[in-house]
Amino acid sequence: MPIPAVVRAEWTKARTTPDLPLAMALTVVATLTVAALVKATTADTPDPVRVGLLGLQLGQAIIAVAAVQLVAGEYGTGLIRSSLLAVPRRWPVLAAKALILTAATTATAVVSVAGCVLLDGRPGFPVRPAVGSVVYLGLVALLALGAAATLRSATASAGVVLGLLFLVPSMLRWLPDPDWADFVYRAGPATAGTRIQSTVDVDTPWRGLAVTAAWAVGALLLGALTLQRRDHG
Amino acid sequence: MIRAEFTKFRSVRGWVLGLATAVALFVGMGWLTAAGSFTSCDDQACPSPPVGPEGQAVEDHFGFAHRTLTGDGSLTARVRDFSGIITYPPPNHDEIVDGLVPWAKAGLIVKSDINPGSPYAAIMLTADHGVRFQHNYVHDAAGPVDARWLRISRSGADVTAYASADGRNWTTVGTMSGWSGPVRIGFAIASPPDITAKGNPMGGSIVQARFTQASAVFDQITSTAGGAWRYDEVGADGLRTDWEKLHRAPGMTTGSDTLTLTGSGDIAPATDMRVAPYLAGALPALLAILVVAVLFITSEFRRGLIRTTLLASPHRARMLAAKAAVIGGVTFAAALIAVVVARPLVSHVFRANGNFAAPTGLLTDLRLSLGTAALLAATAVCAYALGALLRRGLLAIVLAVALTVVPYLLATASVLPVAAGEWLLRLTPAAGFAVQQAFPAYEQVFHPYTPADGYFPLAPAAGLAVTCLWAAGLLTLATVRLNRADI
Repeated sequence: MPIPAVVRAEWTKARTTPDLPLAMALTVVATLTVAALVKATTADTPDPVRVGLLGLQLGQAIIAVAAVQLVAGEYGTGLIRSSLLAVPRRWPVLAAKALILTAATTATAVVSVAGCVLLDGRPGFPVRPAVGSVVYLGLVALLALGAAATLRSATASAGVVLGLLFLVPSMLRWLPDPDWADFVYRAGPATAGTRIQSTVDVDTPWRGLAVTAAWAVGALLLGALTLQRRDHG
Repeated sequence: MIRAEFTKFRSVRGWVLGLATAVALFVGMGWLTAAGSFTSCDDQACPSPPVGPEGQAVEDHFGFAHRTLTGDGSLTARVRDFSGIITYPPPNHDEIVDGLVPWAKAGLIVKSDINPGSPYAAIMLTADHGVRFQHNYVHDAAGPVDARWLRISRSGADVTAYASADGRNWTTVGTMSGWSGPVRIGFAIASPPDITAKGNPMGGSIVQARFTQASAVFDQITSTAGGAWRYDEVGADGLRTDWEKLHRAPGMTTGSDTLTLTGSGDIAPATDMRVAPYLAGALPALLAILVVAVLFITSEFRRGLIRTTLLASPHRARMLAAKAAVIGGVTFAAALIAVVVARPLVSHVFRANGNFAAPTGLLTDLRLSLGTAALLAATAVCAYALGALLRRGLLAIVLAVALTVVPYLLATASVLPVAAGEWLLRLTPAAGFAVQQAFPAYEQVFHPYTPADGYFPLAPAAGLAVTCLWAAGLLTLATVRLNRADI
């Protein structure tokens, strides 16, 4: 099957099952709900931009799980066998899924971030945190996709991805050694990537996003490798 | 029925493995945290802070002018002047200003000896909090706001403190009993550091402490204890700031009928203390437990086993309750095993690396251990109930994480404003993490008591109750749905 046909097939799959559209809607709703709650309870904070984008912390979980489901769902139902039968080269399936997921996530992220900016209501919301957050969300989705292609079980992949996103940052306060904490902070996909939202810690924020990108690329490569090498009976 | 469900649980390899993973994560993460912590003071063992009579690590550093009191007696004085300096306060941090920090204190004290950490009772005038009666580091009671006259008297085993605005009409502020033998009676001055705290994006607060010094002039002194006033700087560390070297040294000067004391420090519970981090692994373990708890019910729906289960025991509510009891009980037991293994191991590694682990006391220890196990069990029941309600594993896991791990993370990572974070820890199932607070928030010490620093808005029992209420509520919803729906 030529690549455009693979993309179209994956597009049809994504659009006709409720999971991805539902997740996109949920992400926007969850992000804006948190943003509104934060707005209502917050008076004064040192980093209002970051706090304004806080809803994405919850939104990223939903996007990540939708990405996991996009791949692992096929293993759950056995659909993967038909998919691979149609595309014996295998990797285009993952590439097409990544493409569609990126498009869907970007659209979701743009709407969510725009909503956060509107809710924030301050004139002159800085561009870097807003654009960076959209890119960050796309990278998180790709990381989750790669993890699911590697682990193939929805539950295990969701556990690993949510662990990376949420456990790593929450373990930081238990690391009393500042060098350790600093390393984990700069190397974790969520902690490094969300530095792009900060207007206080402005030291090399794009490098932080590059770390998240490295995680995503690594996961995708591992996923592609698993797809090519492993048996999918 | 519980036995049947337990058999189901232990015969599925993945679930038992998942629970074992949770135990391993709990112990491993605690060990890793302890192994990564080092404390050293110029390549020697660091001095441990003193431990107070009630078992807590305490701060005991103040200027003390004292006489020995062998029997009954009393000391009365007026605080004529109370002033001080704060070095380099915000916003510009560029000058030394006159002023007192809110909990700077000057007053009268009875102390068993001059060793740091020994029992005491004191009536002190503070800069912003009126007259206070404090004893044994953790107890603090408010007295009159406008009083400048202070009296402390000992009668048998009791030490009683009084305050007065005019030196004629006295109010009793507090009594501490249990005294015996000779004691030191005299004047005390203390001035804690000026503290500012800001959130650290990596969690916790970055606390800045700046040197302060207070001076008090006492007059109208009446003392039944005889002899000269002797001065000691209790808990002195031998270090002197430039201010103390060049401008005003701490110490005592006596006039014809006045006594002036100058000093720094605090007589209070220590607040920047760390417990050995054996509970650090609770959160990673929780994630593994959430997955197992959700799968425990959703895989029954997925594989159709639920039909057989309900055929064998048609009372649906009872079936759900039995499964809840099994998942809660199994989690509690596994968590307890994890705590029992992690506590000695992690504490040993932590201390071996030169760290000081603040003493907690047996009751607090029991509460931390059993509370954490109960928290994990209650959260497991929440996740299980979500699974029963939604019947879809992935969705239930996401919701369980969103309800427990995410609020805890948002509240403790110093991202969220403190007030919003505290509301999350009151309303969501993450409220139960309050059982992990080792020390109470002491009002008489200025310190950032935020969730990021390990201080929760609810009391331990109340927090755990919130989590249990969530579990009960979700379980009820799941029962309603199961009773109504077709399988």
